[in-house]
Parts: sequence; C-alpha cells; structure tokens
Amino acid sequence: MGRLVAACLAIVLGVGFGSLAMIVHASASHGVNETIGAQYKGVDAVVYPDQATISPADIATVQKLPQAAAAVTLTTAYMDVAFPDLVRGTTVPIDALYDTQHIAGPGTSSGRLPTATNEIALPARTAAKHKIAVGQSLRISSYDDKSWTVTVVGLLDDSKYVGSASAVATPAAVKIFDPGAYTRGIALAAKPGVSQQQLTSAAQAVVASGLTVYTGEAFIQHEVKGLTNGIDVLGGVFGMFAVIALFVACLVIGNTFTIVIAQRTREMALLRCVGASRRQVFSSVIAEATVVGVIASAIGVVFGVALSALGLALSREFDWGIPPVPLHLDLSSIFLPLLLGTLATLVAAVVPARRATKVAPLAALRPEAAPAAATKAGILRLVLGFLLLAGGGLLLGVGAKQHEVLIGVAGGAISFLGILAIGALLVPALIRVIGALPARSGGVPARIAVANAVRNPRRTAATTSALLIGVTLISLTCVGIASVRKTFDVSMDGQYPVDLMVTTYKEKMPASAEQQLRDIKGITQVVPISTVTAKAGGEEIDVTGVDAGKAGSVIHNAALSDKLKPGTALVTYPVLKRLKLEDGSPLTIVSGQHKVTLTARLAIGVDPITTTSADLAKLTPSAPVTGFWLASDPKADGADVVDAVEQSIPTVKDLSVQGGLAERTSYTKIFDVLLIVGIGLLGVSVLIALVGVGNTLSLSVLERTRENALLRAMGLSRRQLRGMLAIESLLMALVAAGLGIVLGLLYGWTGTSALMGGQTVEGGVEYAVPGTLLIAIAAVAAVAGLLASVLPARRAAKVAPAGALTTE
Amino acid sequence: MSLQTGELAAGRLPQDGEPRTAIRAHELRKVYGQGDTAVAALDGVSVDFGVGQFTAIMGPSGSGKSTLMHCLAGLDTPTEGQVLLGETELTRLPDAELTKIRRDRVGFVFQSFNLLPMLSANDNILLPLELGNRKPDEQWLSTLIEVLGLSDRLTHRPSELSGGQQQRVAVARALVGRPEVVFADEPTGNLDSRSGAEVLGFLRRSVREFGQTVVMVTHDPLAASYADRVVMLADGKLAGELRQPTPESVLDALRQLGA
Repeated sequence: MGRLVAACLAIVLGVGFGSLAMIVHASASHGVNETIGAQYKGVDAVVYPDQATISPADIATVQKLPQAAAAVTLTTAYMDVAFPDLVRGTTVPIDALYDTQHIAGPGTSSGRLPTATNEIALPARTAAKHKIAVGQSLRISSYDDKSWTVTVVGLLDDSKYVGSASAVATPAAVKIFDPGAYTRGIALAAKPGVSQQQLTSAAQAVVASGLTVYTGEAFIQHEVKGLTNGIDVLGGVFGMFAVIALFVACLVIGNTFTIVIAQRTREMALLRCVGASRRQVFSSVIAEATVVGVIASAIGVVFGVALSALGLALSREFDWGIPPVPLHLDLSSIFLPLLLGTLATLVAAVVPARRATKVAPLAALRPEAAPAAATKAGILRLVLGFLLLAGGGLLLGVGAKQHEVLIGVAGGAISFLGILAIGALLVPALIRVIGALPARSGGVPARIAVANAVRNPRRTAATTSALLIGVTLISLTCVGIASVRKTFDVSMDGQYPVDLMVTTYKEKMPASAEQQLRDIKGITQVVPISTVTAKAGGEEIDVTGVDAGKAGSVIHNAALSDKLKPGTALVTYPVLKRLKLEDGSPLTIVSGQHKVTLTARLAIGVDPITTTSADLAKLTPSAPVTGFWLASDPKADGADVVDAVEQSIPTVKDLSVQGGLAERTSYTKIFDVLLIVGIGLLGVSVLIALVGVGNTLSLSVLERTRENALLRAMGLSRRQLRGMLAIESLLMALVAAGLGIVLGLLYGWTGTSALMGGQTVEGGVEYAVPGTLLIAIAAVAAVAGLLASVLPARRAAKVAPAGALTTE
Repeated sequence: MSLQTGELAAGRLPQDGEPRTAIRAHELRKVYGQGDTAVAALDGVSVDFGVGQFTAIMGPSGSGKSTLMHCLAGLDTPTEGQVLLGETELTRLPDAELTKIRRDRVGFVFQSFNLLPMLSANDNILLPLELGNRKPDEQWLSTLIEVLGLSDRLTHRPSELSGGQQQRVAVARALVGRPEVVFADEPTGNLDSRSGAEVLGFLRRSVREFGQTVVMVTHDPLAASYADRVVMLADGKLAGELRQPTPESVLDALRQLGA
C-alpha cells in the first residue's frame, strides 16, 4: 500500500477536481432553480408573448377567466437613470408592482416598496454599486427626453437574484414613465381546485394566437433554462478538464501498478508455485486496485466538497460572477466522481494485472529477480502509433486548410494518441538527444542518469506521457489564444483604423472638449473632425472632414491615411456599393448650393464618406467640430482609457465612443480570462503528472537499491547520487515540456487556422509564438521535475551501501 | 597444521620481519537493534592485515565476517572501536570522506551483482576512476585486461557476459586503481568451480606479482586455501588463525570451531 500512495494522490487530485466541477455546477443550477422558483411562487400559469405582443384586450379577457384567482400584468419600462457617480445616464429596467396577495413579488431589504408615482425601489446591489441610499432623489428620463425626479424609498433584496434585478415602481408610475411599457407576461394564480393544466388550457383558449401560455412549472423551467445555459456550458468545460485530469491520473495509476507488479514478480511467482491460479493472481491485483480506487476516490470527493464550499464562499465574498448560491450536494455529484475514480483505477490496473498473470511460477525459484529488464515496445503498438500519427496529421492539415474545426480537433486527438503510442520509441530517443550534453560533460553520474532514464522505455514513456498531455494542452491554449488574439488585432487594425472615435449627434461640442480629451491619461493624439450631412448620388450621407496633415497621427493604417489627400474621398464599401461606384470613380457631393467632385477610394472602418477638412470646407464653410479621432498609448489599460473617455465632456448628453480600442478592450478581457482559466484548470493535470514523475522515480529507486548501493560502494557520493536522480527527473520533465511545447505550437497554429480561417477576410490567420509564456512553461516543468526528484533522491541517499548489498 | 593458540590473543603487536600493516581493526563492536533485541554482530574484534598479503576471513553463517569486512571497507560504521586504513582512521570520518576513500583507496569484488547493467564491461571497469575524475594508467589497464582475458569482451553489457566473465570484470575494476586494499566478499559464491578457481587464481596472482593486498570473506575452505592466512571468526569474535592454509587444515579448523 505504501508504494501506492502516490497513485492514490493522483486519483485524489483527479476525483477531487471532478467532484469540484460537478458540485459547483449542481449548486449553481440548484440555486438558480430555487431562486426562480421563489420569484414565481404562486404562479400557476403564465401568458407569454412569443410571436405576438400582449394587448390590453388579452389582459382584460384573461382577468375575467373564472378559473383564475388572480391575474397580474408584468410590465417593464426601460428608463435612463442619472446616477450621480456617472456622467451620463444608464438604462435601468423598472418593473410595475402588482397585487401580491396570490403571487409572490419582490421584497425589500431596507426601506419600503413604492406607493406613490414619484417613488421607486432599487435592487440593493445596483444601489450599492452607485452608492445610493434610501431617501435619495434620482433623475430619470425616458427615451423621448421626458424626465422626472423620483425618490428611492427602498432597496430590494436581490442577494439571491441571478443576474441583475429590475427596479420597481407603482403600475401608475410605470404608465407615466412609458405609456407603451413592455408587457413581459401575465401571471395567473388558480382558484382552489383548479389545476395548473386546467388554468393553462383555459387561458390559451381565450388569448390571441401567437401568445403562449405556460403552466407555472413549465415557465419556471423555461426561465431556468435561459439562465443556466451559461452555467451548463461552464460545467461542460469544467467537466472536460476534469476528464483530462482523470485520464492523466489513469496513466499515472497504470504506470504505478505496472512498476509495483514488476517489483513483486517473485511474490506473484511464489503464489503461483503454491497453487494460485492465473485468475486468482489477476483477481488479487484487481481487488487491490479496487480498494485503492475506492479509498482514494472517497478522499477525493471529500476534498472536492471542501474545495467547492470554499470556492462558493469566496465567490459570494468577492463576486466572481457565479450566482451567489449555497453549497448543494446531490447524489450524482458525490457518487459519479466516486464511481468514475474507482473505474479509472480499475481500468488502469487491468493491463498490469494481466501482466501479473503471465509471471511463471519458476520465477520464484530463480536466485535473483532480474531487475526489470527493458521491455521492448510492442511492434504492433508502434505500427498503430505511426498510422494514427499519419492519419491524424493528415486530418489536422485538412481541418486547418478547410477551416473545419471538428475535423481539426479529431485530427489533433488522433495524432496525439499516435504520439502517445510511439512514446516508448520517441521519448527515449529524445532523452538521449537532450541527455547527450550532460552525458558528455557531466561525468559518470550524468551518464548513468541518462542511461537510467532510457533503460525502461515503456515506463519512461508512460511517465512522460502524463506530463506531456498537460504541457501540450497548456501550450496549445497559450499558442491558440495568442494566435487568435493576433489575428483579431490584425483584422481589427483593418476594420478599425482609428483607436477611438468620439462623436455627438445634434449636440454641440464644447470648446474645451479637445483639451478635456487630451488630459486623459493614455490618450496620445486628439484630432478634431467635422461631420455634416450632404447629398451624394441622390442620398443623404454623412460626410466627415479631417485635417489631412493630422489624420496620419490617428489612423494606424498608413495605406489608408496616404489615400486621404485633397481631391479624394474615402468611401466605405457599403456606401460605394449603394452609390454604384468603384474604387477610383468620381463622386459628386452636394450641400446646399455648394458642390465638389472627388475621387472615391475604398476604405474600411471610417465614416461613410471621409474627406480632407479643406474639401469639406468647400461643401460647408466653417462646419462645427462634431467629434474627435483619438490615438491611445498601446501600453495603457484599454478599459481604463475607454472608461475615462466615456465619462468625459459631461455637457454632452449623448456621446458615442467607438473604434478599435473599445472593441479590442472587450475581447482582450475575454482572452485574458480564458487564458487564466485554461492554464489553471490544466495545471491540475500537470500537478497529477508531476506526482507521477516523483512516483516513478521513487519506485525506480526502490528497484535500483542494490545498484545504487554498488555505486555508493564504488565511491559515488550522496550528493552525486541525488544529482543523478535530479538529472533523470529533469530529462523526463524537459522532454515532456519540449515535445509538449512543439506539439502545442503545431496544434495551436492549425487550430487557429481551422477556427479563424473562415472568419477573416481571405482566410488570413496570424500565427503567434507566445515566447515568454512558453519559456515559462518549460521553466516550470524543469523546476517541477527537479522538485519531483527531491523525495526519491533523499530516500535513495539514505540507504547505507553495506546494508543494501547484503540484504536480498 | 593446527591452531596456533599463541596468536589468538587480540591486539597482537607486529614483530620485526612481519609485513607492514595495510589495514587494522581495533576492538571493533557492531551492534544491531536496541535494548532487548540488540545483537552484537561484532563483539570486540582486533585484527591486522599485512601489506601484500592475501587474507581470508572465515566463519560459520552469522559469525560476523561480512560485517567485519563492511566495517573495514568503510561501507558500514562500527558501533565502537577503530579501523585504520594506512594512517587514516575510518571510524570517525563523515560519509563524504568515506565515499572518497572507497573511491580512491579500496577496491571491491562482491558475490553477485557487481556490475551496473547499463554500462559496458569497459565502463564498469573504469567506473571508480571516473567517479574520482582520475585517468587510468593505460599500461596497467591493458595488462589487467590481458591477464584477465577480457580483451574481446570490453564492449559487452553485463547481461551478455557469463558469471565468470562478470566476476573477472569486477576483479579488473577492483584492481585498476591500484587500491591499498581489495575486499572480496564471497567472490566465488555464485560461480562454478572452474570459473571460481580462475578468479581466485587471479586474486592470488595480483598479490604475488603486483604486491596487492587482498582481504576476502568466504565460507568455502577451498577458496580460503588460496590465501596466505586465514582468520577465523565465530559469534562476532576472533576464533583462531591459520598460516599457509590447505583445504584440509581449514576444514579441520572449522570443525573445531563447530565443536
């Protein structure tokens, strides 16, 4: 059992991770279910606007249904609320209150619900975010520029709410704010004795066609589904990583059992000598695996539950975007990981157990169990491996070329299996290559370390495979994300040649606007523009004028800014098409009695028609400044810059901020999160694999006790012995890291091509090499490899040379 | 030859005309375990081994002969007493120093598992030298290889060699660094009689022709008869000594011990 501790650790980690994924998913789903259920408590049927909108007539007929005890209209007005901490208002949905005698409604955590038309209650989290207290006044306005001052009389308890909650006001207030307020549905409560189904059928019969009536339960399911789709996707991703971790654990366990059984050859042979059948030997190994699997999996589940509880508590504390849900344990999220962990252990033990049955009884009688002679990699396995590699590689190429993600993924998986299959050939060869240097210059210990690392190719391959999987996937993630990001960046530069375009419509830019923008940290260039509406080809089109001398400082694309000369107009593709023009055709623009004819040039990412300010002046003399084009410092935090620009020029009510930086910032964040999540989740697999490396080493050390003792007798110092094991471990880690990084680059690039090729202009894809990240991966693998050798090396160095040579 | 009881006294001083001492044990005690379960494998052994002598240590199983050799060779540290290799006292040295001594000043031939399986015969022979970053004396090396008949076996791995050949490689390895003492622990234990005789012949030849000091542990009277001197051990104590032994005189002495 002692020798199996490391295998247990691998199972504990794999199962713990799996149950963490399942429990968090179950808790979130359950939490959402409960919350939505509570929100619609008492609702027996819901009239829902699917194909048609709900008309007052529908409301009236439903209210007259004899089966209904109550029918309330769910109405929402979308209002612009001027929070004092923001320069410009933000949209907040305001729900109308209704009679809550039969149907549950929102409750307050402080203050009270609105009773007058000049009162509203805000969700507590929204209020906290904008630092609003009960009693404070807010200015709200409608889309058609009417505005009211209302008092916040209460805060709604949204501590269990999933997503952002709505504010509430009296139905009369909602009617004033927005006379045509959107009706989300009609909720019905049944009279006693009427089933949900009966009520639903009755309602469906009287409402207009195009409206769907759900039973209360079905509606809750419908709402839950809308909210948990994201959770399910997240759960799926988590689950996938958990399966990878479990697979890696499987490799580690299988390897451990193989080694342990090799070391017990004599014991097994003795059993066979005294009459144990092959089946009994097989069963004994399987029984041992079962015990190990169940115990380790159980510990793993406990570990997973503890981690989940901790994670959910931290999530509530720091608002990680997971709904604030309590820990929920259901049978499947406890027993499935337990079952899978045990099964994985059993599956991993089958091959070693079969090998155990092949031990000849005579082996017990031989004077000395030969210390595990090098096992030859099966020819069949190699042939299969090369076939898989070739076939998978071909598919991968096709997937990348045709931009077919599924074919690419299949090709990647198949070729990787091929790599694993030929590992027994490939890994020792690579170790010899990498080991050539230390073997030549590092003296005997280094040479022996290299020889030790390759003497049992299967074992070495299995050990490195576990690590290889993790490193390959992490490198793939890094390379893929870096490449996709670079592809995005390049295509963004084409699509959005200007970092930020700040414009206002109808309103007047204050004279100080330019200076205000210049003062923002991270803004390097500010170029004013004027947009006027003019006529071209019989259509009203916005024409923007920009100083030709300054335009180059804010337009990234030099080819584009070079086109902008007096006498030319940059025209976007849709406009060019609409006016039936070609690149280079003459374009006549008319404004009042002014008229200019310019050469139209195709442009992407700028205003419909862009000219030099000199040409614009010919159309509209002294056109006012309506906006600015900005360039930003690429080192500045994009989100902060965009935020600052959006909050600037407070006198302008409606300020539009667009451009490459705004777009880039939104996806940069997504990529960062993806990268961190990916590395974090795959890190678990790497951790398990490292446990495997340490495990293989310590078992090898046990096996080589006599050999090491002999070396010690010959004059190998303790330090040299420890160094020898460190080199052996380092070689395995480096080969796994090197091979994994190379594979990660190949898979990452082909994956990017398959994924992005179809979505960019002309299928152009950028291949990135995230050098720092990849070097970091190799460095972490190397350090971890060294760490993995510490315990086995200490154990090996402790053995007294005399004791080991005599005891057998 | 009968037991020379006069020489049984422990701590006998070397007299004029006797060879210089290569290694000396003084009042060695080695206790395994603690308290009630303590067993003294060596219980006050004092013995000298002369330079250029071939000494066999004999005794029944459990007599402590292997423990004595391990203590003499710096493979194990005694509980009490001293071991002097030349002028160096081994018993007080830390592991790193002992390691150096094993590497540079003594050679070993074990009963079995003498060679590292992943190194060729040649690499195995040179192992102690390379561990100490020493260059082999090429002439001495080729003499050894020729005498031991290993010329056409040098590139072979141990698994490709017969037991006798493996043991000859081990002898070459023990001798190549011209150590002060070669320790042999049952060197013929796993060999057939012909191969065993060969190996013992080489050990004796190394003493006669090259002045090597050899200390050999054995329980085989025939093997012991190759030595110049036999030291008897029983229950962790010295139990007698023979000079110029023959198989018969050794057997006789062993019988007396058993009686």
